[in-house]
Amino acid sequence: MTNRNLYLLAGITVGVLAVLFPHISPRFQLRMVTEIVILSLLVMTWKMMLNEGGLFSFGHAVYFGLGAYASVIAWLNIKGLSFIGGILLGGIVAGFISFFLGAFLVRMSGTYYALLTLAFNQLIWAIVWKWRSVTGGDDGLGRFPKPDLLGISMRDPVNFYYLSLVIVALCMSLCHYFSKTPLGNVVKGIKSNEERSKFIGFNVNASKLIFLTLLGFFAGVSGALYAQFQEFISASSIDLVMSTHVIFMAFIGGVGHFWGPLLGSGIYVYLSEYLSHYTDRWELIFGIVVVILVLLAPQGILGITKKRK
Amino acid sequence: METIVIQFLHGLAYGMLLFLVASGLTLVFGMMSVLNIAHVSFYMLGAYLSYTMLKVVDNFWIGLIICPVLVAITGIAMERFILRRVHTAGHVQEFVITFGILFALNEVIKWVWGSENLSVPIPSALSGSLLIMGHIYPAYRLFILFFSLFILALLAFILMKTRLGITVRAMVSDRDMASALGTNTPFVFMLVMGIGSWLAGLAGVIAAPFLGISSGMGLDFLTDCFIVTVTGGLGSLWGAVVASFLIGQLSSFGILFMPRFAIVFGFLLMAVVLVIKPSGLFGEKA
Amino acid sequence: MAELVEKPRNILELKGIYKDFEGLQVLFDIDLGVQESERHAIIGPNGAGKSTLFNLITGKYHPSRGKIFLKGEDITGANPFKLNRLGMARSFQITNIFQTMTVFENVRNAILSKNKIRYNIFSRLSKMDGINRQTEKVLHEIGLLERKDDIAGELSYGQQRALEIGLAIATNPELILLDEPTAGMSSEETREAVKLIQRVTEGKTLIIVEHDMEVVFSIADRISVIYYGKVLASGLPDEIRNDQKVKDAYLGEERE
Repeated sequence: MTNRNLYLLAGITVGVLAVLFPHISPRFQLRMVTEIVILSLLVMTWKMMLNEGGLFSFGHAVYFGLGAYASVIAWLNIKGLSFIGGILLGGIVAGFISFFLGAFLVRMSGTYYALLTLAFNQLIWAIVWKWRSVTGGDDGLGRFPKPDLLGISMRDPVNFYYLSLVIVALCMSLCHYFSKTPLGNVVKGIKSNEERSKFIGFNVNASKLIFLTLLGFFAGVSGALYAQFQEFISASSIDLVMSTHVIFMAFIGGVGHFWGPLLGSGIYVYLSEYLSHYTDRWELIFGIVVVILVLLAPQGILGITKKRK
Repeated sequence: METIVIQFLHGLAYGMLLFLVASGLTLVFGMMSVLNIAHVSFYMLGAYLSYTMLKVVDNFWIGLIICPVLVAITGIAMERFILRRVHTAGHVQEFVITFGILFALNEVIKWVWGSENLSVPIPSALSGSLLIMGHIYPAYRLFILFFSLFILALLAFILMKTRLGITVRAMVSDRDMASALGTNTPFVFMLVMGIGSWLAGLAGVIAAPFLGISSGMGLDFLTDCFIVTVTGGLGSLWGAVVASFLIGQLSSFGILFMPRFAIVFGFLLMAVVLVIKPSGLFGEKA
Repeated sequence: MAELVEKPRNILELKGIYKDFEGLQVLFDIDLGVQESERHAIIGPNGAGKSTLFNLITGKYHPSRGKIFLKGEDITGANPFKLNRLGMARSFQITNIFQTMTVFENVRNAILSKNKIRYNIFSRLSKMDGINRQTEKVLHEIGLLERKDDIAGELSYGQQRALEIGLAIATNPELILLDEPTAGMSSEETREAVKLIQRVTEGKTLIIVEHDMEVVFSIADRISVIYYGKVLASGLPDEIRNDQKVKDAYLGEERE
């Protein structure tokens, strides 16, 4: 039971820190932490896709980016669209794309799945990039509304931080709850023994598809939030580099861990911020770090601290 | 009519390039069950190295011989020191690390050679054009075509007729059995990796005057390369042959009809193939 | 043979089944009928095609030629999950349980499927009392109730085989197919297994592939002998026991 209490304590500590954070830290730190929070939701969906779905996604930026674009385009074109409305819309569009792609991808085995997600990422990125009239292409889209939420201005970084925190925490709890539901259990069963799952009456492809759709939705929510965070969206949020970063973030934190995504995005944001002051080549360093990490700690950083063997 | 022939030849040339790179990828996968995502950076590396080689030696042909070898050495080193150690950790780790290497290699290339586009002149011996069906067709493209065919024939010969080739094929087909029969597995791995990267580097060298050198060249090629590999079936050389031919043609004619979104055609082909046969045209276990 | 007023319905029918794998012919012109509520054993030497037959019936493979009927409905080429939903379930020769899940979770998976609870993302599993009760009932039947919180992969071989059968019966199928359920068991375990099988297949139709002749003769109402991909003989146990062809081909070779 002490393990459980330890987790609870850690969770409460983190929670309290999270709430107090804006009042105890400088502004630019707040900005970075907000980014970390938003990205950790995205990374979590990737991690779940791997951990529970057994699928390695090379093209996760698709859901993130399309969710972002969908919400931005909506905010730009639907007068009076609320903040939450836009976020939801982003999630729904991403979920839709995930469903559409997933219907095709779901029967593929691991390696093919990975390759195909990469290929689709490229395809969709190319389309987004070239369709300037809608997406602004290389220049991207900016200057879209940042609606107030219940009368509270979202332009205030502190407010925005709290909102992100709430949304992300909510989404994460929903995902966590998912594993306790019947469908979550089916997915778990499929991971444990896909063949037997079929023979006891489960439509494995359909179950996986719904799972992927849900994950796509949350990734899209993350994207929409991110768009508001940056007050700008461009094709760089949907390209392979972004997908790569997602994989790296997930991996660095440790794919087997609840806090993995948060830790991973934290390291990523801080590293990119500080390294870019010293060198333009921070991406290179990032890549090398990941390679070394995989060699030394295949389970990510949190994997090292995992005592259970 | 002439346009069709021209486009056909163009597609053939591009298809051959695709094959050179995809064959290495699919061979390595078939043999080692490792999907080496970083493979495409060997292509890039070959191209960039040829640029430097030209600056140093000013002879395309020397570059053609030396650069792929350099790339092969890089590939072998990568296999020996990095891939081999990750193999036991699992597929996920393999994916991540090869991706990391792709990333790092791309960045190194950007670092050493800069991000601007570079151009490599067509070697003077091949800079002329030929008259084909009343159209002027660049001789260099024909060179790409025939040279690649030559390499393909060489590869086929080695695989079919030499002892080494048969060993390689046996190992791709059933690795455990082959090693039980006493083949020197690590050596063959190294060899296959070396040959695969050599092919990719070679493709880079000959592609450079034709397609230009840019920091994004790897990425563009990457997609087509993966589409070829998946459509043809992972591990199947024949699949790679057929698929690169098809994708080459689709790319060439696609640009004619829908220049901005030509990339879609390759995808459609892949999608259709995979729906009918999820393991690709000639792939086995999915 | 006495004329019956009403001929018992064949719950499963195979008509003209052929199966080949890339040129290797495994099954030739199989005609087989299994009556409702009967215990039908399929025996034959190794490699005769018994497992292939099983896999064909349960949807893992599709026949090269021929048709399969379940309760009169053509099910040739149907998906395994559809077949399960139509009332057919199987166990596997090589244990095929959910190794990383607990014994309870293993059976619960099947119970959820039986209750058609497949896509629910709202209810909390732990609170679904009906499901949990049904699960425990099956666990009790297969004698694994005390081990319900153990990881399935950690059970003894005999216990895993019991769980294997448990997964097959938990969806409450009308037709149960057991593929060598006593494979690798000691005589003691085999006796227990036979009792279990008889208990859980009460009132249902059972098709069982077996090598152990004692098991076969103690369970089966009818026996079919598969020999090199063909049905050599099919009928009551005594008929089979005394059939010369069978004796020459099989029972003589395989002294159990």
